[in-house]
Amino acid sequence: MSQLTEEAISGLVAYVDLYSLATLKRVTRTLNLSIAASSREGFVQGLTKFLGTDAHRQLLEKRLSSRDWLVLDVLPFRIGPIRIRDFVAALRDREFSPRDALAELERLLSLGCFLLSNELTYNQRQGIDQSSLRIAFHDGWIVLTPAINEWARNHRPTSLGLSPVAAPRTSSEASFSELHRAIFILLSETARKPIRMTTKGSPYKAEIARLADALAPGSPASGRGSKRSKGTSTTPAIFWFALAALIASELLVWNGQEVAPSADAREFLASPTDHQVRRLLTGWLNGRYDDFSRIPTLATFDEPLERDARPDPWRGDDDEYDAFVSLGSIGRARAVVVEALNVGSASDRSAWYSIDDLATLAYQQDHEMLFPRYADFELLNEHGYRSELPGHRQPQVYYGLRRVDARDDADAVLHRDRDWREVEGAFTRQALVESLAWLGLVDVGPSIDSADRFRLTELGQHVFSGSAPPPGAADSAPRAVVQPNFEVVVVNALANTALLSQLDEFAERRSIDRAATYRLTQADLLRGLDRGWTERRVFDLLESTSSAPVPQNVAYTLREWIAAYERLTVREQASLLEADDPAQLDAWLRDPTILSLLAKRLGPTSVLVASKDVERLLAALASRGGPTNVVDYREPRASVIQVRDPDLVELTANRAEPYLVYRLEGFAEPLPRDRKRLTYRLTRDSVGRAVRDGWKGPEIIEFLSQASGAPLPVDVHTRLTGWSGSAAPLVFETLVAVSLPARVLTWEILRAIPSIGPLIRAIPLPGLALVDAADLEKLRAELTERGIETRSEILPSAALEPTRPSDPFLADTIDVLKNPILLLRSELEGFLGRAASLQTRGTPRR
Amino acid sequence: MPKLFRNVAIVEAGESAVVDDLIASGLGRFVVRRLSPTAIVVDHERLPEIRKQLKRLGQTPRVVVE
Repeated sequence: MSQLTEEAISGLVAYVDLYSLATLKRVTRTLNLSIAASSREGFVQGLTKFLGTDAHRQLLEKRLSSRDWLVLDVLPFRIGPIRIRDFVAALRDREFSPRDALAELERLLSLGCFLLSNELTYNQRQGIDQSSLRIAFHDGWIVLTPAINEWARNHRPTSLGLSPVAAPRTSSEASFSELHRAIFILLSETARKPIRMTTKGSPYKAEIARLADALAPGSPASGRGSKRSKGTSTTPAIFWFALAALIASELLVWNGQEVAPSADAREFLASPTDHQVRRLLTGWLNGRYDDFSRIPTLATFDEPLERDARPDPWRGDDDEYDAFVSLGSIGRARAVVVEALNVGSASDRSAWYSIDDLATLAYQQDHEMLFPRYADFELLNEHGYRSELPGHRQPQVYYGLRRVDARDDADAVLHRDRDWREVEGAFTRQALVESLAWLGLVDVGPSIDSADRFRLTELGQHVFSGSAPPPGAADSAPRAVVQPNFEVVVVNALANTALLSQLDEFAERRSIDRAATYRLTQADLLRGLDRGWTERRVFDLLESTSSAPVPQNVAYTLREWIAAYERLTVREQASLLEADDPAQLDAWLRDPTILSLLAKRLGPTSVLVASKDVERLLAALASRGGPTNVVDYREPRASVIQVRDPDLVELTANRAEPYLVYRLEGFAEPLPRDRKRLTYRLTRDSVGRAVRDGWKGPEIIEFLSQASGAPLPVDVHTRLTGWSGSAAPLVFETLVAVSLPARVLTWEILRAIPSIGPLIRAIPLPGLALVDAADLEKLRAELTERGIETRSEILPSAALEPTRPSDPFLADTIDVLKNPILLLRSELEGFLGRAASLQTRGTPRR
Repeated sequence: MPKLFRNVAIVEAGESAVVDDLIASGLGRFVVRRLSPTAIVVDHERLPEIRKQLKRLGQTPRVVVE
């Protein structure tokens, strides 16, 4: 019988289904299973039912040697899927030749101890013979069959455990509180406003600044309520840790290019501490936090030596390209450290242990925990293997990596096998003093900076061994004090994150540290009421958490605010059904089908309808008595009115819908109506009234144009523009028009004469100049001086308006004549004639 | 023929006196029609001004957006 969970069984089915039919039959035979199947699905089902069961275990106990069990208990195999290449590398470190390693893998696969866990080629089933394993060497992954992990543990030699050491005189006691605070603030801030992320999976700088400010000690969340100092934050490492853990544990989920709290984030905050830590531990193991960059004694050759000067400990997608250690390797190393800690402390969970010993255990179990040691060809090459037996193995360097405190470049280089304590060992230490300490799982001593030993905290013991949770870890009873100054103080804030997230919904958070302080304000309370909080819920929460009535003045004010909120309702984008008369509405309300689709009755003939029920309601009404006229206020009505010069607007009575009438009466006067038609007159007063009410001329014009379906008649347009004050005042000046009909001379030419130019105000046409009346006589004298006579008469329209001849050539010729240089040439060509007498037209000054 | 109006803006109060006060205090110019002593249809295109006016009058209504 299988003791596997449903999730494990469905995973098993997926893995077994990767096998070819031949492989399925082979495994079935090897396990002595009598599966009467005629299709591969039958074999898949049969095998899935057997693997991981007691019967499977009994068979393995008979068939496997102690060496096989040791292989199954190799630490890197227990942390999750592993590449075939990594399996061979791990066994190589245990003195298996490549041939023997592949043979061992084939054997264990055929006995159902391992499973293939990925599809190498789309829709192509896999084999488990050695040649298939060689083909899949680099890209093929395997995973331990569920339950094998536990069975192999029973065959584990006790020598794997660590030896306890003396307790340090002082220790840095781990506390989950700092990380807990960061988690709560991140979830709370992203609930208000999701985090925008780049396409490479990193938060934008503005978002980092926002969140880092919220995390700064003593900072009110969201910048409300008190002053913030400028230039506050370099971003603390714990921020990155928390963000990575939240995303990887799916407490923050992706929504396009943003991350926001998941649906179960609130439940997470309300869950016991140990549940929260487990989930965040999984998030850390699989997340983007870069523990490796936090090792203070190591740096790469191209980055600053000081840790604070290095980039943030976060791996975006674009950081992976030239990363010294891949994120996948960091994740693997984290898992190895955790598993080594689990295995090493199994004999005594409360003891102190040496960090060095733990690092040794982790590295011995997995030499490749951070960096691959072998190229593929080395792992597959029997000859190469034999030439590198112990004693002949060549040392390698950690390329690109250096000691921070090296004397010189030569001293900075780190060598494999010799200097692993400074690399893999340092990583193990870093994971303990920072990540695992933040999670509240380990204490280190004598201090963080000089830590050489560790122990599991009570919380850590519970997480690793399932012992009783520490007191308070599972306790989520809230405590708060409601003060007469409208502040609510939550004592021991981080033990009451469920309460904090509720208060966040209707109160303003001022600060959060050991205690959290909120302020009850009208604006925040209304925000909560909009979210569904009621008077009763608010008071129940405040009174139950403080175990006392809310102070009288606070209660009175809260009730006032709530009453004001409930006194008035504004409904936007609502749907309103209007009956022909009250009796019709009464009849609808007696019809069960229609009644179920109606909401609140607002008047004798009016009833609200939820938007989601509109279509069904229309269908129901149609089936009972005929169509319903639908008027959508979001879609402007067109061609429903007629606008006539100079000031009339008309619509037929059957189109007199209330909003249309309201709009027309807003800027026009209703005239006596008849049965068939409503008529309105636009007047100076009615338009002026509309403007005082906030309407603008262009808005009225647009409305009428839209409603009439045509541009407005010119006089209506002009009156509306003028009466609404949309036209700027016109400016006039009295000038004299002087026409020069002759083509041989133009005003441009005359204006070039120094004594004449200043007398000309403007030349709107080539043959027309505008002259100030006071300068007219002087101009006439100047012209007379030059033989050009003037006289006063009414100018023909042609002189006052631009004309273009129909012959384009002639038009070009006229344009040419405007040019004085060309005019001169035309004179030479005989176009000159006597200057025609100039004609003038004057009007008296105002 | 019955009519169904969509995307309408409605102000509704618990008491007619509240609605009367609002109309007398400047909201009247936004009223399209009165459905009942306690409910009015207002100009949906001038909701920002209506909200400002309500705030000026010290009102903090519940806003329901369909």
